[in-house]
Amino acid sequence: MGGLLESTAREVLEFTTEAVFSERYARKNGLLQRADPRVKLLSLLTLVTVVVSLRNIYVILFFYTVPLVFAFLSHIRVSDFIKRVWFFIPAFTGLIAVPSIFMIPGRPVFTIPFTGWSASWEGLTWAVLFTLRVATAVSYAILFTMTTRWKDFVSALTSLRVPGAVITITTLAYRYIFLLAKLLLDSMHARRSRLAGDLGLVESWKEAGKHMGATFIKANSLGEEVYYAMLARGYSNETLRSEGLKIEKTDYALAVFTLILLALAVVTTEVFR
Amino acid sequence: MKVYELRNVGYRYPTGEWALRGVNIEVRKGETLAVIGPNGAGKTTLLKIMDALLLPTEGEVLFEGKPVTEETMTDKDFRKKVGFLFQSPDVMLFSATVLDDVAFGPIHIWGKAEGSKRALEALKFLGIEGLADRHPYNLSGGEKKKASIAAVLSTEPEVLLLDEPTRDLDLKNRNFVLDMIHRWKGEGRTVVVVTHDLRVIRLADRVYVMDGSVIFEGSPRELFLRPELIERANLDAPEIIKLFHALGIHEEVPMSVEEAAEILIKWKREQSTSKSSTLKEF
Repeated sequence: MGGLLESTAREVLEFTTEAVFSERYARKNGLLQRADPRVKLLSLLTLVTVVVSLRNIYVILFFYTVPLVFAFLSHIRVSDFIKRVWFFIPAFTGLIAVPSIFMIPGRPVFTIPFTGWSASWEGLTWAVLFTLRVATAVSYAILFTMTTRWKDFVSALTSLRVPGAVITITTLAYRYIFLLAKLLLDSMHARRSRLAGDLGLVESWKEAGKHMGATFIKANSLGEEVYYAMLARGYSNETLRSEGLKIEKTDYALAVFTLILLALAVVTTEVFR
Repeated sequence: MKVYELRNVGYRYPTGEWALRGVNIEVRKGETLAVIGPNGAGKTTLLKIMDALLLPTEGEVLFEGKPVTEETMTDKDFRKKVGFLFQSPDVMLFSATVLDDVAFGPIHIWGKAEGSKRALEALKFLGIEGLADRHPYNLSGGEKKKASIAAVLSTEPEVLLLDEPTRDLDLKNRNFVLDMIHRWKGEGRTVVVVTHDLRVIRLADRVYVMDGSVIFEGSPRELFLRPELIERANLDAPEIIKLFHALGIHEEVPMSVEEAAEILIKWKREQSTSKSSTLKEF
């Protein structure tokens, strides 16, 4: 169990480091990579808001296919994209969706032997709807992060007049997470190299607690060092002015497409009410 | 001309423990200064104080005659003039690509267009333009060090503060860093280097030995004449110097193999002359 916990944590860390920081896809010359980050950000916010308010499963399924098409047009391997989206879904939605299958009253579908727990049709429908809605919203968010370079995102925030303090905190967190992920991975490997066999469940939880405490202390001093390294190279808590951002044809097309989707969501919500 | 003047500088950690006390140091323009001492002697803290990242708890720091204050911390002119190479390149490399990282300083100082141009020039100068689009965490130790040197050089600083620049590097990369220091010295830049590496110390014009405060100031040659100081600084004396001490040659200390050969030939000649005159007297 301890080993499973450790390997899962390691995989999550490795995946996050690769997924968030590599900017592998953001540097390709695809459709969304060419779009202005401000337009992309506003479209993303609009679409996520639209998706979370959808109630009909077919409409949600339609909205789910949109990011897949965009991923393809942005030279992102669709299988990679799907994997990235569904990697986070079970962890985020499982806690809420699974119990609701048994808790929402309705027509029974099956019963778990010896427990008396009965899954209802209404519960199942709700769980599927909820999971699909989260997956669709996450798809839009991930599509944005995969096709936008961090510095462009910061430029977009600046030109959208997001308060400087918010941008500074976001920038520091982003830079710092790099190091923290690496630190966590290194200490996990160091721990593993000094461990013969697997720890029991209780022991592994105890060890994980100690590990978290130690990481917190290390993270604190590391965060300070990163801040010093930034200061030493001219950073002065100010956000840089955005340069070179220009609205072009692709951006107008993206904005119009977002509005069409918004209208479609409003119409279908009325129709399926 | 004095670039830095530290007057009775002290620094106390938030825990209440003193890292430095009563430090008086002068750094002159164009000189290479080595700061050595055992671990925990306050060397890195000293560099951070010199780079205005920390303000001293007591005493005063003057940079080009002007006091270093809290405003210096974000002063663009100061940042243009002073470059700090941190001990760990991981701390310095925090962007998505090497180019972004190297451009971080110059963009903050000169803006995007000029900053990116200077960053590319720095990468080309170090011969690592091929790493521009690489993710910093996928680099080897030597590449990371070169990328962090490029990050410092991209602002073309007049003063370089280097914290253990050769630490954890293989011979080839160590030689690269040594060549860089040699080059900066030749270009008349001011270099302050914290190190345990004897080859770096040899390049210095002056050496400060620290252990909470300054316990020695002099030339590398003067330092090597005092084995007790080398021991206190937690340095392993070079084999050649150990040989000289074993032979009882205390007056002269070689700084290179060629110099050692010269001294030994002279010493051998003196030995044989004194031996033959003793025989004659007998």
